[in-house]
Amino acid sequence: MRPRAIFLNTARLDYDGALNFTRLSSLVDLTLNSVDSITDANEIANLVNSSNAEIIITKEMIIPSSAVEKFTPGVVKLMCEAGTG
Amino acid sequence: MHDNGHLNSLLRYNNLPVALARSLGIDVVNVPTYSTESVAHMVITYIMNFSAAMFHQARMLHKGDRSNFTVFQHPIREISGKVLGLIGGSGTIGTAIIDVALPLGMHVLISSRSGRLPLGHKYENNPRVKVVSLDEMLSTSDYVSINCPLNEQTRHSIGSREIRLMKPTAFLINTARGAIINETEFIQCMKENVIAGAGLDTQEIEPPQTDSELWTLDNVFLTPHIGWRRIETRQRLVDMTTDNIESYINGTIMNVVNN
Repeated sequence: MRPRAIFLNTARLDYDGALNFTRLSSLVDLTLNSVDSITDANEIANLVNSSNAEIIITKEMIIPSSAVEKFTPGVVKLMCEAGTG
Repeated sequence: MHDNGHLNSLLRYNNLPVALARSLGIDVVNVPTYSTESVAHMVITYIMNFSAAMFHQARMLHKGDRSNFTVFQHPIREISGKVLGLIGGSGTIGTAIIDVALPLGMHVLISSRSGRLPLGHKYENNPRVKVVSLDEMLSTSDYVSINCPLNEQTRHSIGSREIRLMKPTAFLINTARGAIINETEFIQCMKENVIAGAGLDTQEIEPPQTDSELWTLDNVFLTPHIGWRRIETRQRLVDMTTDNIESYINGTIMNVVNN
């Protein structure tokens, strides 16, 4: 079974819809959340927990500790910064 | 701004709480190099624009001021023979900048406490690439480009003292991280016309706050952090992020920043 992944702020990277996620979609059950950024820790945690994602992808978005502390224990295994960070 | 703590600064990692993630058994990975050439070309783009006062002239024309067609008001200079100073110039982006600067006829100064480039560096023995102290580089360069990472040592490291060392005809370019510049001191220097101009692709807060004086300074030109935004660069980022995830799935995880 493919792991679930959620790109929390896809619009920060693919703001014009010009990018190709085909290969990534072939590897994971991918959710692309089409916003530029989320700043509220509760909103981040709710989004991650409702997606049941093992993999989180972000682009230049601050994930505060207070959000990570609200993740469902043991579900998230990998956080990917799409960039240098 | 965030609560990621000292470990993040040591890791040069600004967005994710890497230490907490490690304590919860979460691996954090990044894409360390994807925009090297794109950012380097952004620096060169700024240099070329400043050399011909393109920004100033575009602003004048947009305001309906066509006086440059009769009495030219801005000193413009050839790029060849000018000195480009690089802060953090021995890294991959700095090297990519040198790749373009040398064929343009520029001389390059790299600031380094060690006084030399890393052993085996591509430009180690090039007579037009020299390693000097930060102060010497600032005081003798026509263009100064910031290309170092943001960490506790570099945060606000370019302020009034450093800018006042620069030549009054020189330009400062930042495509790295905004917080490397002490923005309050920078704004004061630019209001006093201490240097000829500055191009900031990155700012401490992006976008700067509505009432920031960065928006209104005649000699400061902002771009909205576009060094990485070229379409090929962004697709490369998607592909390299996919590589990271594939390596995780295959049990050969790479680019972990919180080991």
